[in-house]
Amino acid sequence: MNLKILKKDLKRKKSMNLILLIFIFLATTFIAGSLNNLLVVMNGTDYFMKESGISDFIFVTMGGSKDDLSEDDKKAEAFLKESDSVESYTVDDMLYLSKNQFSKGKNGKFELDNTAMLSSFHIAQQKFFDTGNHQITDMEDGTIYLKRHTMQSNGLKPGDMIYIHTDNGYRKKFEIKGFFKDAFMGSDMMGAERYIISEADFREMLLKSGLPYGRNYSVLWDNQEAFEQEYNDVGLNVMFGGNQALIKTTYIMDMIVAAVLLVVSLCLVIISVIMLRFIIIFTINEDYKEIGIMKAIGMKDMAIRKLYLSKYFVIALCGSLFGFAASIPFSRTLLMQVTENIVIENKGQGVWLQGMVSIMIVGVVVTFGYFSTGKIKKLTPMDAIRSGNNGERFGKKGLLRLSGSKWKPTTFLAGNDVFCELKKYLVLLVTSAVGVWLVVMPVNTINTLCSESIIAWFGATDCDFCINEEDRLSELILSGDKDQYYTYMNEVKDSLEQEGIEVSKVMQEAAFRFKVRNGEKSYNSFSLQGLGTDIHQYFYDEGEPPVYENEIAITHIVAEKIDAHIGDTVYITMGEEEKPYVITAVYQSMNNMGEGIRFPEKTDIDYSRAAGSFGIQVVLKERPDKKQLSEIMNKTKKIMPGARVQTVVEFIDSMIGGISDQLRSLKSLILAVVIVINILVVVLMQKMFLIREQGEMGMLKAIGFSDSKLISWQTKRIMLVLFAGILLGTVTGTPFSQITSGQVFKIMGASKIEFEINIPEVYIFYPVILFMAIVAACIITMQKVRKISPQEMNNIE
Amino acid sequence: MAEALKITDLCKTYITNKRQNNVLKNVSFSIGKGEMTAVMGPSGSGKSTLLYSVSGMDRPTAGEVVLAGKNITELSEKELAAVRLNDMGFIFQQMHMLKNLSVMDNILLPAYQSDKGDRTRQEIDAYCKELMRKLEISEIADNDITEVSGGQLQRACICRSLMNRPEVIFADEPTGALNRSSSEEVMNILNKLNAEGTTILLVTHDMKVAAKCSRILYIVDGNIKGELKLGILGEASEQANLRDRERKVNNWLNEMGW
Repeated sequence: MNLKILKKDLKRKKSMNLILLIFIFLATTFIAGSLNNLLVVMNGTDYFMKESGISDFIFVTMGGSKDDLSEDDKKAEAFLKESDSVESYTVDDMLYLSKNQFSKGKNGKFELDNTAMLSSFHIAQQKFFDTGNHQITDMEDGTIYLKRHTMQSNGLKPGDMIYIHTDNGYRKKFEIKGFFKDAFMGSDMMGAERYIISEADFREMLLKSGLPYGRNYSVLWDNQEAFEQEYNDVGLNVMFGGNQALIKTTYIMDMIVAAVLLVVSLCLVIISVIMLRFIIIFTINEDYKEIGIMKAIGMKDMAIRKLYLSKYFVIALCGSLFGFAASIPFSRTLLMQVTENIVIENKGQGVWLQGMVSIMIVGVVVTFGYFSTGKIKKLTPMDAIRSGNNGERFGKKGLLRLSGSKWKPTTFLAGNDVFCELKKYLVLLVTSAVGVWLVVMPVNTINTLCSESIIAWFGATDCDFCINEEDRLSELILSGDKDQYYTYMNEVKDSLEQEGIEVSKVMQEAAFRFKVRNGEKSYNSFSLQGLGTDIHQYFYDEGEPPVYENEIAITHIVAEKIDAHIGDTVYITMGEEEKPYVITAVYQSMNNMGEGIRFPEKTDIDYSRAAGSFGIQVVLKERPDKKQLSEIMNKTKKIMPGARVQTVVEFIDSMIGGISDQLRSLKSLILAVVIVINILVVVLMQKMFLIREQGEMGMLKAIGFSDSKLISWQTKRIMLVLFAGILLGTVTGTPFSQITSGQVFKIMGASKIEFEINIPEVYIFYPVILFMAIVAACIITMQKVRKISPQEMNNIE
Repeated sequence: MAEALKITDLCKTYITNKRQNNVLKNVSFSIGKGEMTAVMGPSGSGKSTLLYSVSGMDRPTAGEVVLAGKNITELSEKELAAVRLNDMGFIFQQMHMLKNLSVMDNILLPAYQSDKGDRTRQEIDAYCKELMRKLEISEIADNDITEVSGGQLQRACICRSLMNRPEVIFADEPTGALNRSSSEEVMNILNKLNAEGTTILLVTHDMKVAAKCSRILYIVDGNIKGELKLGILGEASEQANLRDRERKVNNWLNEMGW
C-alpha cells in the first residue's frame, strides 16, 4: 500500500520531487567536490614539500669549480661538517646559464626573466615530478625539462628543440620533454629557475661547457635555532639560503589561487546547506494537505512519517548518487588551477571523502525530513490541511498598504511579498551577496597586484617605465664597481635623450645580501641601495628616512628577526668588516617575503658583494599618457634591442611570476561559476514558487492580470531581493577581500596594504553583470506563467 | 432587450487518457442586459465548464461567445485579460484572495491595475469604500483575510468583482461555501446589483438561490435541456412571493429530472 502511495506521489508531484532531486544532486556535487578541494589545498604545499623530499634548509652557492671549490663552498663544507646542529646534509652540482646561452631552434631568441640553473634530474636534494604528478625517474640523453612559465613565454611545446651554447664554443641540442614540478625552484617568485637534463648530459656539460659552477646544499638539522644562528654567523655569500618554511612561502601566489578556490568552496558549501534546508522545508509544507487527509482518515503519525521519510530517502539516494559522480570532475576542474605548479595529494582518498559526503547528504536529508515531519504530531488534521497554519496570528502580515499608494500593483505585490515572507527570500539574498564576494575578492586582489602603486611595496620608487638589459646588469655585478653602475645609468640616459626622449632621471636599485646583527641575534637579509633615487620617495611606516652614511631603514620582518627598533644601533657585516648602523625607519616590502635593509645612496658599500639589480627605472620630464608611453617604449626598444622594456605593471608582474594571468583566468572561471550557481538557485526557486503560487496566479489571471503583469510581479520580486543581496555583497565585498586577501599580502610582507579598488569594475560592472544574468534567467523561467490557467485558482491554499 | 452575452454553438472537449470527453455540445443561448440567469444541472453536467468558457477563464473548443460586443474566443491572451479586468467580474465559490494583502488592498487590486475610465487613485479608493459600506464590510478593510468570516470574505470578493464597474458578473456557486444566513446576505447583494442594472450569470446547486434569479437554464450532458423564466424578483423581503418562486422552481426541476 505504502509503495503504491509512494509511486503515485513521485508521479503526481513530479515537479517538486524533481526540484528536490536536483537540489540534492547539486548540494552533493558542491559539498563533496568542495570539501575534497579544501582538504587538498590546505595540505597543498606541505604535501608537495614532503613528496619532493625537501630538507630543512637549503642554500645555493656560485663560483669556483667542481675540482677547485670557491671560498664560500669551502667555508660551507667546513661549517656543515663541524656543526653539532646539523644532522646530515647533501650537496648537488649545478651550472648557471643566462638567456644568451639558449636559443630556440637554431637561432631563435630565448626569453628568460631570471638566471637559469641546470642540474641532473637525479640529485640527492629532491625528487622532480612531471605534469601528471609522476616522479621523473628516468631521462633520455638529449632531452630537457623546462619551467612552465619559461615554456609559455617562449611559446615552446614538448618536442621542440632548444640549443645551449657557451663562450668556449660548446654547443648542445636538447629536445623539450615538457615542463616539470620542482618544489625548491618551481615557484615563479623564485629569483632563479632550474631545468633538468639526464645524468650523462649533465656530467658532460660539467666537464666541457665551461658554464659557471654552483652547489646546492641540502641540510637536515638537529636544532633549528642553533643551526640558523650558526649559519648566519658564518656569513656565506649565497645565491639563496632559506628554510623549508621560506621555500613554502614562495608558493604564496599559487596559494592566492588556492585561497580563492578555498573561499569559493566554502561559500558553495554554505549555499548548498542553506538551499537544502530551504527545499526540504518547502517540500514538506507542500505535503501538509495530504498529511492532514491521512490523519483525518485515521493513519498513525509514525506511519505517515515513515511514508514521507521513505520518499525523501529514495530521492536523496538518487540525488546523492548522481551528485557523487558529478563531484569528481567538478573537483578536478577547480583543482586544475592550483595544480599547475605543485603536486597535490591524489591517492584516492578524495573519492572516499566524496563518497562519505554523499552518504552523509542522504542522512542529512532524511534527518531534516524526520525533524520537519515531527510537526505532524502536534497538528490536528485541519491544521495540516491548512498547510501547517493553525489560524492563530499575532500580528499584521503586511507592512505595506496598496490603498492610497502611488505604486504600480505589480511593484506593490513584489515588495509586499518580500516584506511578508523575508525568511523565504533569505536564501537568494545570501546567495547573491556571497556571489558578489566571490567576484569582488579576486578582482580587488588582482587589481592591487597589477596597480602601479604597488611598486612601492617591491622596494622601488615610482617611475614611467623600466629597462632590463640582462647582459649589462651581469657585467655590472661582475665589475663590483659602484661607479660602473652610474656610468651605465648615464649611458642609458644619454642614448634615450639622443633619440629625443626627454628624461628627467634614471634610477637603479642594487641588491645585496648582508648579515645584520643586534646583540646576539643576527639575520642574513636581502638589502637594497637606490642609485639616482630620492631616499624620501620610498614608503616608510614609522620613523624618518635614512639620510646619513651610518643610517639604515629595515623592514618589519628583519626588525622582528633581530629584535631591533628605531634608534637601535645594529651591526652589518660586509666582507670581513662589521660596521655599526642606526635604524631610522621601519618599512614594509613584498621582496623576499618581507625581508629588507635600505641604505642611503651615499653609504659606502662593497659592490663586489652585489647580488643583482632591478634594472634601470626611467622617469620622463613630463608624465606621458598611455599612447605616448607606448610610443616612447617602442622607441626605447629600437635604441636598446637586447633590453626588455616594461611598464611598471609588467615589471611588477615579472617580479611576482606572471600570476596575474592565472588569476585573471580564475576570475573568469569564478564569475562563470557564481553566475551559474545564482541562476540555478533563482530558476529552481522560481519553479518552486510557480508550483506553490499557481493558485494565486490563476486568481490574478481570473481578475484580469495579463501574463506580462504576472511575469513583471514575479521578476520584480526576485529583482528586489537580488538588488538587496548584490548591494549587500558589493558594500561588504571590499572589507571581505581586505580580510581574506589582506592575509596573503601580510604573508608576503605587506601588512598595511591599501587595496586598489577599481570602482566602475567592482561597484558597477560585475554586480550589474550578475544582476542582469540572473534577472534574464528569471524572466525566461517565468514564461511558464503563460501556461497557468485562471482555473488554477481552485488550487489556492 | 439588448444582449449582454451571446453564446453560439459552444463546444468544449477534454482529452483524458486518449479518450475524448465532450463536456459542452453546441450550446447556444443569450442573456439580455440586466438579466440575472442561473445555470443548474446535475454534477458533471458541464455547468462550471460552461461558466468558465463563456467568461473567458477557459478557451472553448469551438463556438462563439460575444461579451461586451467582442467575440472573446478570438481574442489574444492579452486582450482576454483586458476583458476580464474591465468588462466582467467573477465571483468564485471559494473566496480566493491574496493572503499577504489586507481585505481592502485585495479589493483595490484590479482597479489599480485597470486604466478604465481614467480614475484617480483617490476616486478609486473612494469608490471602494462606498462599495464596502454598501456591502457592510467597512469595518474589515484593514484586516488580514484570515481574520474575517466566510460571508464577509465573499462580500469582499463581490466588491472586488465590481471595482471596474463590469457589464456582466459571473458567479460560480457564490454561496456554495457559506452558511444559510451568509448565503442570503450574498444573494440579497446580487439581487440589489442586478436591480441596479448589472447582468449576472451564476451557477448554483441551490434551488433557493436559483429562485432569486429572473431566468434558469437547466443543463444536462453538455446541452441546455430547459429554460424557466421567473421574471425579476421584486423586493427580496417579499417572502410570500419568494416562496412561490421556489415552489415553481422546485416543480420545474422535478420535471427536468433533478
